Amino acid sequence: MSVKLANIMSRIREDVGDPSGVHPLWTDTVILKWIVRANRHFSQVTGCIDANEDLALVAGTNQYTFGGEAIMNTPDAAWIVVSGTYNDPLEYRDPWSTPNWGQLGRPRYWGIETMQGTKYFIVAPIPDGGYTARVHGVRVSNDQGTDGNRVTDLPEPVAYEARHLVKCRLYQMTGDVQRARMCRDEYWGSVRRGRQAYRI
Amino acid sequence: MPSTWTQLKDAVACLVADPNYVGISDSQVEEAILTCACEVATELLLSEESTTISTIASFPDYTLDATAAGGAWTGTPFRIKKAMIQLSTYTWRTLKESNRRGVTVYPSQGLPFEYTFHQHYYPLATGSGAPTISFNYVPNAVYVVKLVAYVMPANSTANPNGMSLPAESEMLVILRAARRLLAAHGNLALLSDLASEDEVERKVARSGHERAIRGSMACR
Repeated sequence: MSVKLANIMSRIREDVGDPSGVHPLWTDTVILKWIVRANRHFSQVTGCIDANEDLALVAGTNQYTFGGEAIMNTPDAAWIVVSGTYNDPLEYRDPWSTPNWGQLGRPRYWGIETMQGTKYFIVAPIPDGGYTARVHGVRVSNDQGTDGNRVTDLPEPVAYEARHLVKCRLYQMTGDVQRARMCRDEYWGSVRRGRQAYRI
Repeated sequence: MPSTWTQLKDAVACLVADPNYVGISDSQVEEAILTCACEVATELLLSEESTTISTIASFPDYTLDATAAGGAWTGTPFRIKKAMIQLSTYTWRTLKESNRRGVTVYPSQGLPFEYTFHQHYYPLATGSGAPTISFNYVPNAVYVVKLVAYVMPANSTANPNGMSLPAESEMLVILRAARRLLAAHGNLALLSDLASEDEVERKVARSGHERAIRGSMACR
């Protein structure tokens, strides 16, 4: 069951000793923004949410746009999908120092090139037929739903862990540096545990 | 996905305890973010772009005018990382960087293998201020040259997608922008606390970028 942002907020309010929400700076809006931001950070540094995107490679084309919300802009591995259960890994190379760059054949290498702000997934050799390339990457957290029903997409075991960073930010807002530091230490402890769990 | 421009501004405004933009104006926050984004991009070499140009046969210099990079680099400071010349449809050769600035004698004709980029002219502009790339031989034909450069984040507040930086570097930019804004307010303890996060966030930004570059499961 997904964890609601409202539940995380209540937990934070209890932690910082403001259960009724009377602190003038710590409004619901502000806390929610920090929760979203902290969840993004936590997912980035632990790699706890990963995603795949399948690209249909066509004969004669070596350059493809990619990176919908699922992958953001940091793919870290790619394969040619051979069958439902078997994938053939592609090797990462700088696009221009790739052997057989530009020749036709079965793709063996992949790279990234950015042109005018758009990132392209590039394969070499140029596909000689239709293939499916599967791109893997770490995704940033992106909460779902609206208002009171907004839920985090962090995995449930770690859904509350990023709250320590929120507390740190709240204390920084009030200039309480000592408490901010303690919360930050707690947060990085959670990150370490998260990294172990997700083997990053 | 990277944060939108509004999300970034809100985060900075919250951090300086001014979520409603009362004491610090919207434009001050924007300026701080852009300055810090450029700083981070320069420091960590995060923003890489490439483009192609066609050399002009029998002419040793190529002027990068506003259309050279499809207009994308216009007004944007950049630093050339490498240049490659296309030998055939299938082959690129990396050109060696050399410093031939001030050379006035026109070299002989041939296939260039070195280039000099006159960076002191950037940012890219049209007309006489435009930067040029020179080759060690006058190209004996028209060649396609690919330029890969580190480009500064787009200086456009109209960009709804925020900075053209990887999402991993956002927190670093937010913290630095907040420090910049708080510098005048004199809360030294908080400034010092924010500064202490800088090194960690630099590592976060750097590791995310390296993961993208290396493309290796090994670094996960």
